[in-house]
Amino acid sequence: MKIRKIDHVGIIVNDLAAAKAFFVAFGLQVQDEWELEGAWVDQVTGLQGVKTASVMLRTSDGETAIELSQFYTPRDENGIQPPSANTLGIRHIAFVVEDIDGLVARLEPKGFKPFHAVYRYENIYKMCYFRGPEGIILELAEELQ
Amino acid sequence: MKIHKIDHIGIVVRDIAAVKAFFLDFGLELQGEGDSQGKLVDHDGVERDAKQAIVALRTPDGEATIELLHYYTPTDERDLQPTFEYTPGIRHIAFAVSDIDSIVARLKATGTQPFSAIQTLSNGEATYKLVYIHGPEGIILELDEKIG
Repeated sequence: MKIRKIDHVGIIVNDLAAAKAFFVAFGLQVQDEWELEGAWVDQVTGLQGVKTASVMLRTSDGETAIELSQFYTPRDENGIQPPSANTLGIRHIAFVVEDIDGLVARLEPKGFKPFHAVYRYENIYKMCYFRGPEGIILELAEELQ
Repeated sequence: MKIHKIDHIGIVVRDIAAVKAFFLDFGLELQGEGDSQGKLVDHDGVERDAKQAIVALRTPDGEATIELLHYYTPTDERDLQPTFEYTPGIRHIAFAVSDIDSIVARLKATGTQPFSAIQTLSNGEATYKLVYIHGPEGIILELDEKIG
């Protein structure tokens, strides 16, 4: 009886194609894509009439993946409520990246911006909080030698 | 320009002692904890002084960790909002486990409810037992055990 590791983090999005395009541009790799409906997925989620499309994306070296899912049905009537860093709930995903300055410079022209300038945390990391698609908060950290 | 790996997943909580107790009972291990002060840029773009309590939790075998954050200040006036599996945003954390039946039985004994009975899924390559559970403060967890 053991919790071994984190396999993936599930993110619900309104526009799967756009969110997938962002994370591919960000530097993740598509591992799998599928659509789901039927009794099995209704059972697991405790919902009725579930229809979803999903994309699993992995990092270059890591064992934990990102699962993007769009629900065709049911849909949340409240839509996207862009969170702040201190909004309650599962709030950010932190990535170890190479060349944080180059990454931010590459994503900013596409409209995705850091919360603030990249800063140095002691002599350990260069880091920033970053706003991805649909208000999703990412933390980026580059390990300093 | 690589994205190496996921380092951690941050969860903002109201009652950090209770959520920490849940995850320790769940089977995570305490990696570190303490208070921290810094700046927070809020949704209005204004930078404010922030004070937080942080608890870092790791899995026995995994590299990605869980970071629980409680903001003493500033707090988000929206408080806890009801969320569903289909609510947009970062919505669930999936753990690879061994002996899912015992884990779920133990969680149920302490009042944690699964969404359903444990389901079996084959995707052609492998077979999994899988269940969603209601963690504290509306946090949704997925448990997966590869059985074949």
